[in-house]
Amino acid sequence: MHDSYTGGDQGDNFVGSFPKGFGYGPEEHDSDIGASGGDEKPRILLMGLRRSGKSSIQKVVFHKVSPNETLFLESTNKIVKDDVSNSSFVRFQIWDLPGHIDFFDPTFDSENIFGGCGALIFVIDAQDDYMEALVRLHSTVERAHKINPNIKFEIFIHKVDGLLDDHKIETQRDIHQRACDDLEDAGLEKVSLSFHLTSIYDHSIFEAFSKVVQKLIPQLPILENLLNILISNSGIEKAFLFDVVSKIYIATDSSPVDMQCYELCCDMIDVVIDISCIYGVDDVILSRIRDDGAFDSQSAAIIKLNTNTVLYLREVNKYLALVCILREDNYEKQGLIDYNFQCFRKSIQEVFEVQQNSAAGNSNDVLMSNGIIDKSRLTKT
Amino acid sequence: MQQFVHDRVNSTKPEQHMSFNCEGPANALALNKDATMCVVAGRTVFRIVGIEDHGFVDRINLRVGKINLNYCAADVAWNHHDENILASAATNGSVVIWNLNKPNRSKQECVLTDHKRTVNRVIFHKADASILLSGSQDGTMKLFDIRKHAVSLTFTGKMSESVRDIQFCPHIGSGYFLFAAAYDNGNIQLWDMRRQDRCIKQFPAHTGPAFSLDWHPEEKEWLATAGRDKMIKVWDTTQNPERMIKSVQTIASVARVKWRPQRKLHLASASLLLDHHVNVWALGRPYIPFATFDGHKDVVSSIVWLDTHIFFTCGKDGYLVQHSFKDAKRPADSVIPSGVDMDLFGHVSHAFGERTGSKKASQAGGRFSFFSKTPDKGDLFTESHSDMYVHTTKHNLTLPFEGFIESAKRYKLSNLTFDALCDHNADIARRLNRPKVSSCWSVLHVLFCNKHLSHSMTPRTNSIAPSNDKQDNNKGTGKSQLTSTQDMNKVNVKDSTSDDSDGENSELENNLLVDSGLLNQQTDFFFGDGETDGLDYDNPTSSFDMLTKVDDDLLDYKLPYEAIQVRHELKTVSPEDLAAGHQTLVGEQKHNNMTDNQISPSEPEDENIINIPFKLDIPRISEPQIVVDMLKTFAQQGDIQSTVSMLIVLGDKIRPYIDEEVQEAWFQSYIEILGYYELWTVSAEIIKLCHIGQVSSLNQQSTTIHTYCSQCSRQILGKVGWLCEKCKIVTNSCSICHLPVRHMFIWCQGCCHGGHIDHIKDWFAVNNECPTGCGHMCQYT
Repeated sequence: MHDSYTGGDQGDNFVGSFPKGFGYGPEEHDSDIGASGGDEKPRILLMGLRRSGKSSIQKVVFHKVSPNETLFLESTNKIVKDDVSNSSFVRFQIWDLPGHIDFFDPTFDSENIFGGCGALIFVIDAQDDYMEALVRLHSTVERAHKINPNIKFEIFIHKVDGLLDDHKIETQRDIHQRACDDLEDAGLEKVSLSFHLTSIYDHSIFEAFSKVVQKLIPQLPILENLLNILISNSGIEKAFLFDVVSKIYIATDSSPVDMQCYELCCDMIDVVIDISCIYGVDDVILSRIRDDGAFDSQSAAIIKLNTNTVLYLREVNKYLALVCILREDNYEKQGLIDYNFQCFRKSIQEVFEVQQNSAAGNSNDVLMSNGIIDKSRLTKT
Repeated sequence: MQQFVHDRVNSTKPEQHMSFNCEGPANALALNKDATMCVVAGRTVFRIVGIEDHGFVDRINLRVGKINLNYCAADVAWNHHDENILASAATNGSVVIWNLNKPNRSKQECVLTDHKRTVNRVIFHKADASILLSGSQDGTMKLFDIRKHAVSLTFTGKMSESVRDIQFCPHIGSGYFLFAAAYDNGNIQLWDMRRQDRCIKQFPAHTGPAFSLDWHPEEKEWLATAGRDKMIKVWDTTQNPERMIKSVQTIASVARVKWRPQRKLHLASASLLLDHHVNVWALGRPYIPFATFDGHKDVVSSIVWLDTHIFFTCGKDGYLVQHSFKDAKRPADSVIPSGVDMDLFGHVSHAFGERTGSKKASQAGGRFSFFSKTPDKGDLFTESHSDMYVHTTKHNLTLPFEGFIESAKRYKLSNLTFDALCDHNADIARRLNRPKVSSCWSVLHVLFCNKHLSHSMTPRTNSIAPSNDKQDNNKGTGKSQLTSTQDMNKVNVKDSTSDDSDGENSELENNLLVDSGLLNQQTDFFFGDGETDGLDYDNPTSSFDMLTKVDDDLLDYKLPYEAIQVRHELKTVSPEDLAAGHQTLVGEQKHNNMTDNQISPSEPEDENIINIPFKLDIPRISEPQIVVDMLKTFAQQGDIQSTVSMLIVLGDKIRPYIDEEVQEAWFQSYIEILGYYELWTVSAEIIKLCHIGQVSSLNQQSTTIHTYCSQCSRQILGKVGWLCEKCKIVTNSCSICHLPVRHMFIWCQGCCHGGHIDHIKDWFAVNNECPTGCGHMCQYT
């Protein structure tokens, strides 16, 4: 048993490598660094040339702006700090930096900007000539890496909805090749760049953002293992842990993610939020809709599709939801799934308590996994 | 893992379909060295199954003892040398080594917990049995020495992406140390075991995650990869950059891909979702699977070939199945092998197998000129025979390329009177050798000019001059032009008759009415003449002259219609003259009637023209309908240009008679064609002239013109574009007249002063300096 689940230790190791204020879980965060203000939160910086789509990404992912409306966005003139921690489980600041100002002007405090930055997303417009963007990327990476070597560089090859499939690969390959060659020439082989093909018109931008966010979540292996245990013992096909507001999945089980499944789950969240906005909330509807107060601890939804598939959504905490896809045959044992889910929820809460007092975490997790396994054996055999 | 039985004829294995229920979804499958046993592993399954001639036999269940997460296997591998050693990858990140020789019930030998996240793949090295390689979700690959039970090497890609699949190169000679890894971001990396820090090569292979890869068993450098983008791609890894040799598009994300042994271009694939079959693809024909195998009720998770004709699969439905090629379904057999394609010029080629469709082809060939060739296409298994036909269109229904562009550019659609437009366009059409269109324009002119005479004030000379010219030309030149002038003549005749019916010449009236009745019946032939040849006109020269004369007279006579003051002029024309002219004309027509009454009109447009004289009897009832029919006929023939141009020129005269939707469709298609030929200006003009809101607003959509104040550089957002609301000044007033410029503003780039283009032009014709007196020596060119 102890071999099989060593989550607590790993979590601690990860935490150590991140800035202290990396809060995860709303309640303890407030008590922890309540006074220290926003600067210590890890940041995701959005950079890129002007008109490359940075603000559009931010609006679409975190503000539910429909992709078509982003056409009318004005270009950003100053750094827009967007604190998503107020509305989301993931406590991050997204800094949308204007593309056309000289970022390395001495008046900009690059120490401050890159210092607490967890990931830097560089957006390249794939439909445009990207040579200039690559030059800019190179200088940005060089500078940022010097200040903060832990920074993770994510390159979004954006607006690929206008490219043909073959062309997408070619573009990615070309950008990848050039960017890496540039870095090697500059003696920065150690810096790793991750490339994502994205478009705001489909779910690829959400998936790419999910991957970026996942890299910043130290507890990811634990969450993944918990999900693995949950799905193997409940007969679930695929499970996502969603951040409800942004529809980013902060963890999933280890089986491959299929785009249709992900889209299905996103749609389900929309349905649940919409319906609970209409029917689920009492008087203060309007004020609560804004920060998605419609989603509360009682939120749960089950949708049966005509493909013999069941979508199962449960609230994990204020900002997190578990969305599962399972076959109708396996859904007969709903009690088992509900029970397993309770165990799962409990253990997730424990995982985040670990962060506060790192000594206590280990045994709780194992107890939890015991609970699930024992229960499942009872019902399966 | 794979055993190749080279002598397939004397295969010791019975080639039959066998299946076995493992009682739980299976993730992976591995054969032992002799292919007598296989191990099936999954979340709740871990058992060894014996392979007998008649079916599978349950041998050992390894999932015994105290069950923990180490029994949930994502992948499993069987050592090629030691029969008793197995390795499995657990979802919690541990790699478990199993020893079947262990005396206890639990066969677990050791658990290696070096990975932090799920291990997706474990493989043994083909030659060195002690080497075990694992690839994990945490982005690392670890090389274990199973004698030491410890990690000897860790390969970490620069990216922290998940490793989905790894494969050792099967070629012991050159590829002993080589292995390939597929990543979640679609990249493929090639690694050398001796080099831990970085990969030899890396290339993006798929958009979205790559799920599986497989080295070709014989071609050393070939690597097949598959991913979520529903593609299977075959790469030549020696090339730099890596060259994609083949690709196969499938219907669903591909979870596994395996080359078929001893068939160079065959590979098997299994889907991640939806498709529960195993498809074997022949790369030479990548659109339809070469063979498909069913037997699973859920997706297939693993494929292992036993030999060329037998392979094993396991699936999420918990079944282990032995497939043999004997049972394969051949989807290609049930489709009709036929292909059709069309080229730029409207030629259609059509290829099909001998069994099908030969009758169809000959029918089609009857109308078009065709040639056929019958190439022998040796199929892999059956001898087949296929034909290919290329149909070329004999008379091109679509417009000739230049003609279309020319007329698009030269047609005038607005800014002139209706008559002038019609005449101009008729002229254009005639010059471009499109007689039908030309005559239609002329007819339109005449038809609607008359009808709306009260408000279409055409100068007389305009209509006469060209028609006279035409008649002169007609004598010598082609019949096509003749037809158009005949129209003129004929219609002029009609004009005169209606003139007369006004009661100006009462004594002629009866006579003429009779004549017109005759005329009515005879016009068919009258027109038909002209089409066949112009002889009849040349033959009685005098009558032709007379005709011309009559024409002139009649045209003179037309004037009273247009302005009342011309009544005086009317008197100058002698009625006798006119009557004589008419009689001559009728006589001549009779003559035509007698000589050439067997000729009938053949062209569809003729009907429209021919119908015109009916106006005499049934005036102005069917006329709009005729024009509508004509427009529709043009549209149906593909000459949307004529339809739309006429529609625009006719404007309100015809609009109410045609469906708004139809009109819009016409406009849209014409604009589309114009766009295709890059005639943007014409297209914009058409859009502008269109009365349909949806079309005319096309220009306004997605075209925004921002104006900025030259003083404060702020955008002008007010109602008018020439007044800055902040500075309260008129932004662009003319330097010469000091009035705001609303249309074209010309300014000097040196001193930024300017004004109305006319004023500026005048100014700089005389002066060199800026009109404001700023002292700048502006250059006006």
